[in-house]
Amino acid sequence: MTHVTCRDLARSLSAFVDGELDPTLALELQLHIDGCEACEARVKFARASRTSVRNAVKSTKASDSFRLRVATTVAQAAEAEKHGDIMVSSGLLSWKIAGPLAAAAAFVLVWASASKLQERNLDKTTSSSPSTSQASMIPVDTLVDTLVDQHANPLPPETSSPSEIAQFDRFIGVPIRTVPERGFQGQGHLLGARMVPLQEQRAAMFQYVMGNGRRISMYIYNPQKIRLSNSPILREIPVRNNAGPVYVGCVRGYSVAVTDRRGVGYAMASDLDESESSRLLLAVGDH
Amino acid sequence: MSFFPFLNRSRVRQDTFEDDVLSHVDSLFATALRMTRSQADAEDLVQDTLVKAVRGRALFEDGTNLKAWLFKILTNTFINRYRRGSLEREIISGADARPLSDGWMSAASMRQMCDAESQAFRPIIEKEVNKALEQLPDEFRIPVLLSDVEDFSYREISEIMGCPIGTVMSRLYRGRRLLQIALHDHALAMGLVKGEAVREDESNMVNLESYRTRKQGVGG
Repeated sequence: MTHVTCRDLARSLSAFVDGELDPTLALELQLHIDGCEACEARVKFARASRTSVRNAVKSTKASDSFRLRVATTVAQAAEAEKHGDIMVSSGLLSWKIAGPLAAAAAFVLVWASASKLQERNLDKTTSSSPSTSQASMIPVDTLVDTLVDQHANPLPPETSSPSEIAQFDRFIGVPIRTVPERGFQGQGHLLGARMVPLQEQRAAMFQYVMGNGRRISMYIYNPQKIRLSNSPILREIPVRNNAGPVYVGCVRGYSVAVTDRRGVGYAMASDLDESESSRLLLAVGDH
Repeated sequence: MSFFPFLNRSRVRQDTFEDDVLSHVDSLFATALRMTRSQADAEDLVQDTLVKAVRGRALFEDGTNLKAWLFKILTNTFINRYRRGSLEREIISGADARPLSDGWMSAASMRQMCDAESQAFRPIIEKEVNKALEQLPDEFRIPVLLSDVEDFSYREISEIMGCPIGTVMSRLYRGRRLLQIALHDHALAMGLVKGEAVREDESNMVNLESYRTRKQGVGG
């Protein structure tokens, strides 16, 4: 058995108190704590901190009126889901949520009538299938809007280190090795990358600045989970090499281009014009 | 055999999922209230979360942790709506920028702040916890809530917040230290403990990198 010191305990205190340590190490630390008054005080303090936070927060209960309201809303949502009907007819929903839901309802109508609805989305009414659409949870035009928002008001990149960017893979579910690290075709440069939430999923967002100061935000995501190409805002443009369609559009002056390449979704929101951004996006996909 | 067979008839079998989801309302609301700091916003956030859960029910894998899934939706909805899509780093300055080593408080002060019977802080300190939590930046407060209140594992928190386990650990570490410093300041002000300078010789004691290396070594 190794000799455990106060320093070892200090290093592992949080994980020890959270029960996240390897049992052998936890046992060694416990033996040390049993014989060290200062460490015993540290552990008690850390445990007291946990307990008091829990006591303070757990005492909060939802009000009965809210409980009733939310139970009604959940029942309605479940009923609507069962019948494939997301029209919200009751005034019980708060305005904040009724707005997006109504937008979602309107969107699904447009979407369905445009007969872009894919086979697997149609079995929503039977609902037992695990492939039931998640793309319908948030309307795709709202999603495109979110991309443009994130481009228009960019948050600082989390990292520009290639090894850290490579770590994003397992959070977004698709490989991101095809991203140009030094900008597009020698123009501009990569400021860095961050993960952004999109429709309960995560996407990697790469921020570039071109030589002329124009900015590009490129998103990489799993297109099976996030279906941007269905957006009614975007239109399909012909592509020379049969590599799969590219969808482009213009939102509040920013251009948006979307494509799938080998099962990886790429979207670009940029200050460039539509043809330029679709050209650069194709270059990335072919990279 | 139920005493009210007519109730059973009118309730369909699938109700269990909705019931399961609704059983987490208090937990979700308590966390949402600390996220948004407003009762109305917290209620909207929870309602939004539950509606999304019901609508996205097919995405939930039976047998996995429903509560963790709900907290993931809650956290993502909060981040999307209130944090413009990200847990931006908040700059910590002033008193909170003090060194966050384990040596900043003496064992004697720690004992004085604890209540032996309840194994928590003394009531006079515990009543300040909500205020101290409120002052924590979101990126630290959320993992502290998920760990201390909901008992999620580091792996579950990493899934919920969509960040690596190492990030969860460092945020938990910083979050708890900031909270404890605020409570220590309160204890000082109340005269429960005596003011002591941070012992700089111990300020290098906790080195997260070496901890991670060590933990990986132990695990492997």
